[in-house]
Amino acid sequence: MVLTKGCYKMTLSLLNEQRTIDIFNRVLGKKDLVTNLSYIETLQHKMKNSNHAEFYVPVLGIQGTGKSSFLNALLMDDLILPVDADETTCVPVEIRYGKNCSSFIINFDDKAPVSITNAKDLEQYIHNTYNPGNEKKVSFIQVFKDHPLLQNGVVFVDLPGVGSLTASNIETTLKYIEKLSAAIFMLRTVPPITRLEASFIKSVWSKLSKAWFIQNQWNEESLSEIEDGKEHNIHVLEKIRDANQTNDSISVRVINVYEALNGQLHNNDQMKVNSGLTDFVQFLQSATSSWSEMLKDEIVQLQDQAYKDVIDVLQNEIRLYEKGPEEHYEQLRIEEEKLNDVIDKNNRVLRSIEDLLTIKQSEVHHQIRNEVKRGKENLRADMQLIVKSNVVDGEGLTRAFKECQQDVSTTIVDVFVNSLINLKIDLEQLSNQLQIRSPNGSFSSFEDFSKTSSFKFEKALPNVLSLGGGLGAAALLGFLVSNPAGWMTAGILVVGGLFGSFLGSKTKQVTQETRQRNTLTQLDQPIGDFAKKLEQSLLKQVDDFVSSVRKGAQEVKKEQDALQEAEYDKQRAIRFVEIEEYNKQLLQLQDDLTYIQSLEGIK
Amino acid sequence: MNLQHSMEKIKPIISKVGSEEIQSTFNLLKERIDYPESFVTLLGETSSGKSSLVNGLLGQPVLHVSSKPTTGTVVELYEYDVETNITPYALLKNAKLRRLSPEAFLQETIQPSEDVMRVRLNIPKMPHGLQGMRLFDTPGYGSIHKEHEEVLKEFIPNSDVIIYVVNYRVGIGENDAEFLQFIERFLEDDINFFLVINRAPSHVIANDVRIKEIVNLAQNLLHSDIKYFIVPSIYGDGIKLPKANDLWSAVRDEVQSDQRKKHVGEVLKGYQIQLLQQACIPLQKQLTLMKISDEEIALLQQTIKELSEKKVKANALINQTFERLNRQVPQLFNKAKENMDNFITDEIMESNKWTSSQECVGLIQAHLLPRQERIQRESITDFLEVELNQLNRQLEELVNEAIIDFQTKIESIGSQFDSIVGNITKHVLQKTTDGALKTFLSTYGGRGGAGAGVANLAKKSLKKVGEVFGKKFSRNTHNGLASFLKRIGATSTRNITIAVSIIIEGVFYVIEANIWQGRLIKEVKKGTNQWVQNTSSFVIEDLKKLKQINYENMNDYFDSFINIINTEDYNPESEVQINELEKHISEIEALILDIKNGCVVV
Repeated sequence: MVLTKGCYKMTLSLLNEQRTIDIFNRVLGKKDLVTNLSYIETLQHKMKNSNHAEFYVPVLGIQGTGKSSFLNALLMDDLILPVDADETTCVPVEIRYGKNCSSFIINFDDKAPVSITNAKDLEQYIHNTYNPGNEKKVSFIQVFKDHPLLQNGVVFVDLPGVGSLTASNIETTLKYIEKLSAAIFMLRTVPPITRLEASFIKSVWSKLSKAWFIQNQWNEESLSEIEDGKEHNIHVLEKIRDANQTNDSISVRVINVYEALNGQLHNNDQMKVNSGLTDFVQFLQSATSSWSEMLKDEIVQLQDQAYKDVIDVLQNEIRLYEKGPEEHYEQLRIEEEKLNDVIDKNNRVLRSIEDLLTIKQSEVHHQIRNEVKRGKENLRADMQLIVKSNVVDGEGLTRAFKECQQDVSTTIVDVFVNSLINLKIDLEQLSNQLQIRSPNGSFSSFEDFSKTSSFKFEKALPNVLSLGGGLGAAALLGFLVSNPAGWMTAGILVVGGLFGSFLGSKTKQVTQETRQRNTLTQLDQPIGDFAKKLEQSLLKQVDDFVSSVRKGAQEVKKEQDALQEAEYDKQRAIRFVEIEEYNKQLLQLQDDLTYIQSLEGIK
Repeated sequence: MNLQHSMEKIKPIISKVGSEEIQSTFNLLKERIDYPESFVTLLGETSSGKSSLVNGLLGQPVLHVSSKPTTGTVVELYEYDVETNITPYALLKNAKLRRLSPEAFLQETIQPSEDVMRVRLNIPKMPHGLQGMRLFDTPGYGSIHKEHEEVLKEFIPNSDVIIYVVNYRVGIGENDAEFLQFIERFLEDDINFFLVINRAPSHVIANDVRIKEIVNLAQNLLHSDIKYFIVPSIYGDGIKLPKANDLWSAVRDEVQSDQRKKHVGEVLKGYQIQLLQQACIPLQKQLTLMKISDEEIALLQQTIKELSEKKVKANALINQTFERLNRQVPQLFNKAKENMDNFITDEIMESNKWTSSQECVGLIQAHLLPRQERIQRESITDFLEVELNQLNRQLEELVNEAIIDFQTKIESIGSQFDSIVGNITKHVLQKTTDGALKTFLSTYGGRGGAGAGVANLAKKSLKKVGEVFGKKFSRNTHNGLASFLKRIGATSTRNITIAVSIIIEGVFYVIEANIWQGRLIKEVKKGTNQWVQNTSSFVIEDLKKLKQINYENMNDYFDSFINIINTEDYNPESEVQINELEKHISEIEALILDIKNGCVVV
């Protein structure tokens, strides 16, 4: 990383000069409650990280949208990532820059990583057929490639499809979503975005606002089909965006992944151009290279802001000192009053947040209970009808039961995601009214602050704003529609195990009816269990979300208390100060200011 | 002031306006107020015994009953005290009535002629104190497709009470289940649901296992506790007239409940207000024209021209969207069929060739095909929902912008337009918010007249009238859209059931282990093919209608403003004085206020 000359010098002095560090720490104050780092430490941290920062680009989408094919086409010259018609990838695969392209590292949940050299063996871990439901407990796999796109620390991640997540890899998947710098989301032309996809996108929208949507074009799809499909997909995304009340711009690119892959494998540039891949590669190149520029910019801006704040604060203090102790004290009194006013207002907002949480928590609980009840009734009716058609036992019944449960869950989860998103938006609106104080002493609402500030320096931000609910919902969604290793199958096994083979002839009609009744009675328990577990896990998600927001509100209160305390200390210090000491402090401040202003590179 | 009383006051005001259209609307409304009605619909599978129940109600075998499916059309029981005997009519598609001989009546019930919409029995007096009840006996779900359509579209959403009849021995089958699921979506719109378990052995009581099973399943499907009635079988060969006294009293209590009466009263009151506002418009037009100068008219015409341009734009938008949908819908359906076929073929091929033919067929019939249908259909209805909502949003923006612009410009021409613009806005808002008064009244016809459809007053509620004043345009097509999507759902499910029966028939006798799979796949494809054809053509057909409705609403809206000063209404020779007009208008306004503030006495 090379900063501009002036900035570079400035950074050097920041990192090395004890005096600078001391002034900054004294003037800009305490550690940040969120990161627990001081201003300087934050800056140092960023500087250090920017040298080996990685730019994560996970590829998301429902299974069968061609994620692995797309990555093969983009980066590989062979089918390194296994591709099949249906769900293939069961563990995350990271592709990062490296010269040693024939070494693959398999990381496990519970044991030391293993390195393999034969690409063919990768399948044993990645492919769902050889590692069903990720029974080998692979946490992620690293693949290396010396592709120009991967320079600058860009890491692509092939993720299991939404809907084929297992309990064990859902957490890793969410980690990637959490730390993504940008994302690629694969869509299809037909069918257009499904409910499941929509639920998922909705629940992670706050992260996906940086996503590049790619619509995979199949060969048989005509140009007008593609265009119509694209228009529709954009409409759906706009609807999701509006539900999230943001105004992110949305674009969908069309790429014929199959053709792109063929072009890549046969080294046929024309095919790559036709498929739309070449354009996208160019776009990615410029996006990822400007990313590193942006990182640099951010650090430069962070420094500029820090210097500006320090100078503002020093000048302000000098002005007060020049008034003499008495007037100085009066001024501090006035400022304290202002602060108390703001804190009062903030406390009112915090109380509204608390009220909202209390009301909404029980509202959402009620809603979920209702939905689950409906779902349970639907499931009962479904099973009653299926059993009546003489599917009374065996694999068929087991399977039907599982699928009916999945369908019921999808509906319920969608309701759940929507109500949490709405709650989140309400909370954000309230939080935006909170007033925060910038280092130079002025107040602004959080909303204005986050709008005008070109970067969000973690400092003054109360962490009530980092509402994590969306991700919790996403986790749950993935889990619910995943291969149900746990509670779903447990219920099925009971029923499936009870009965023998199929009786179908007319003479045994009476038996048949008895059998139907028996099956239905047996189904009662697993249906009840399913509903209960579904309800419990959803309610827990809501409660976790609510308590995390409550905790955030507490933090804000704590911070305010600390501010008041500090303000009071300052007053007392001025009130009882000896005049000699007072003048000495003034001189010190003036000296500090001169020193800071003398540093090179200050604008 | 009660409703009749208000009508008396409205009468002279309306006749003074001298508009034929407004006068006829008034007459229809008056009739509705003088003769309150309720709508009760009998539904249920073929041969569940609906017609017997009707005979039981009337105490004589008016409807033909046999063990074979008998009713091929909707039969309406209509109370008409002018006649002394039960008299059958055919209600024709051209909205006329044709008196039927007993033979013709039988013939029309079983196999209606081309021009017949439904059959009506005029009943001098409804038994069980069921005054004003219009009862509709519908053909079984298992019969003709076309009738099924009308039942879904007209009868279910507009009923006060639905009586669903299930045969005790048959229980709730798949057809019933679908039907009930469809009904469930309407239940919250205050439709009452009664389940009748018909032809129960005489010893059967409420805690009979079968009764419990039937009621449980119905409750699971409807997601609510339901009232149910057990009607015992009548043994022997004679004429069967089941007495379902409990049922009919319950129906009476429901349709004549104070709550329902009050609701209907509120709705009618809303219509009275709307009628008066409508009557005001021509007067205001005339008044405005008398007051403004030629220059102002010229300015106005320029503004109207600009508005007309926006109308063209709105129409183009509608056209464009529907054209695209017409392209996409068949593609989506074809893809859906392909997905279904592939999925089920895989399933069949994977099952054990030697042992699982029976189970495989059962699973396809009861689970795999219906589920696939649902998944594929939902993706199509979701698609349509997004697209049509998008259109709605765009139109809303366009119209609001156009109208605000229009109003601002009009205001700058002169203040004499204020009241007329205000009134037109109000009028149009009501029309778009809750269905037009005129359409409402003319669709379901007057007493003794040949109504073309049914409509429940309560459904055409105008309770929101108060809220829309002063608000800008917001097209309430949402309900239209919702019912459009519901109907696609019902139709598609219905079609897959037909497909399933085709499959079952096709493979029933094939037990040879080596060929059943191939045969089954072939039959499935045949079935899904039929599904895709019927459903897709239904959707396309409905899209056409929806497009038409969109055009009409949109143009109606624009035209109300474009015709703001329609010189045809203006008679310069008229001797009416300005002050007379003003007096008339303020009379109407005072009456509106009066009615609005008065509470409804039923």
